[in-house]
Amino acid sequence: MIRYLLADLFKSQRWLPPVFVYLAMTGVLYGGDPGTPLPPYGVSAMVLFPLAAWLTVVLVNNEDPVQRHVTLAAVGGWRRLLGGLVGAAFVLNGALVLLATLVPAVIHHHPYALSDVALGFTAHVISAVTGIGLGVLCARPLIPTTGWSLVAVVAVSLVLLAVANRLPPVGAMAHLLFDSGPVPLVSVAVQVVIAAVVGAACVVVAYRVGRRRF
Amino acid sequence: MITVDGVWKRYGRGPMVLTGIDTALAPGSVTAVLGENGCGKSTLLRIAAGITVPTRGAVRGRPGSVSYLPERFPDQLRLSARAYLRHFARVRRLPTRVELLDRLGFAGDLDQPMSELSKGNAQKVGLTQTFGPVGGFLVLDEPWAGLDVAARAILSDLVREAAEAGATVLVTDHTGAAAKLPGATVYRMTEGQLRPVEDVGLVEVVVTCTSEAADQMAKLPGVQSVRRMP
Repeated sequence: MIRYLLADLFKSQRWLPPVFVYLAMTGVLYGGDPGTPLPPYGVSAMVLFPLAAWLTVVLVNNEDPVQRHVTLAAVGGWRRLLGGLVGAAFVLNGALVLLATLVPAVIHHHPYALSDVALGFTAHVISAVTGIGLGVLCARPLIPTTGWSLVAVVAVSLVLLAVANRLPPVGAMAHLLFDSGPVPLVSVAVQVVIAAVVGAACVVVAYRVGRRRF
Repeated sequence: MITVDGVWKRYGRGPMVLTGIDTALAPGSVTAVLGENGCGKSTLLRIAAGITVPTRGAVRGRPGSVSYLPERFPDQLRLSARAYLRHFARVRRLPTRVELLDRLGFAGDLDQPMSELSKGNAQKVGLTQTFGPVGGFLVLDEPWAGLDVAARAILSDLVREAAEAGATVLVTDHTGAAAKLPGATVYRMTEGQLRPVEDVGLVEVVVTCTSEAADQMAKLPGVQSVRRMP
């Protein structure tokens, strides 16, 4: 099922804009001299959050609405299909997470300790999980038109990244990387747990509300 | 045995579309639902296929994978017919009989995006996807509409063969083809309920008249459906 969903997405090319925006923004970020490893990781993780949500919306809304009915019947209902969509979203965003954590470590002359890369990876995974959660809440069948989906993603992201940007898990994790000095591992673990709970809660809401909307 | 158990459905705050549907669908049986446009046939089929959740009641005994054919097969699919059939065989974990395409008279490129196929050819890919796996639960919404005459006859054969192979078939139809299937249980849907149709000796009559007269004709006892030709 995940292979089918990804194959249909790659044929549509709607995945290109969010990926390009992300690559462009991280390109600008790392273009000059970004300095020590952790602060730019924090910025790139914060940027990943709205783009992971956008990519998830594109993935979920990609299928033709009538074909969605055929697929729902074939896979055995919304619970199974939502599981497949979340799995496919993890594959897509996982690729972005790996790019965003490994490429800077390879191309930059600053020394990247293994612990830095691990912290950067964790921050990006937190953003991806939370972004996927926001994405499934803003996509069909909860929000029927893609235009409004993107408005919702942008609005929530602006609030979380600009206004309340210390809120866990994404903002709080990024600020852990911004602060100089050693990063307390317990705080990181707390953010990981919060991200997992938030992501799971979003998927459960999408299942409960979505199943009555077909 | 798949049982539809006291199913009611309303959309939002709208009127009740289905008002207490109870029926049992046995393996190897064909159940046909007739009725006018907008009477709730398609809603009942989507509920039976597990796509739509009923407001009240439930459908029990449904297998994990249902072959659902929508009334209008989507014509904007980007995958090629070959990839589409392969992916769905994988999703169902059952092989698909691709040779059905030849039998239905498919004339097109298997490797082109399906959006570039003609409507009839896309419908034939949809039929192959639906009938490809042997057995199971087939839910077909107006499958005869939009097919050429030769393909209609083959579709009737396919439905009969599927039932003989043990599949459970639930179908809506306004062309009269479903009622001609041997052994089909025929229902007519009115006011959100299923009523059995006793006499299945259907005759198609072409009448030239005003549309008001056609409306009145639809209300006459014994009239299964009125189809307006352009």
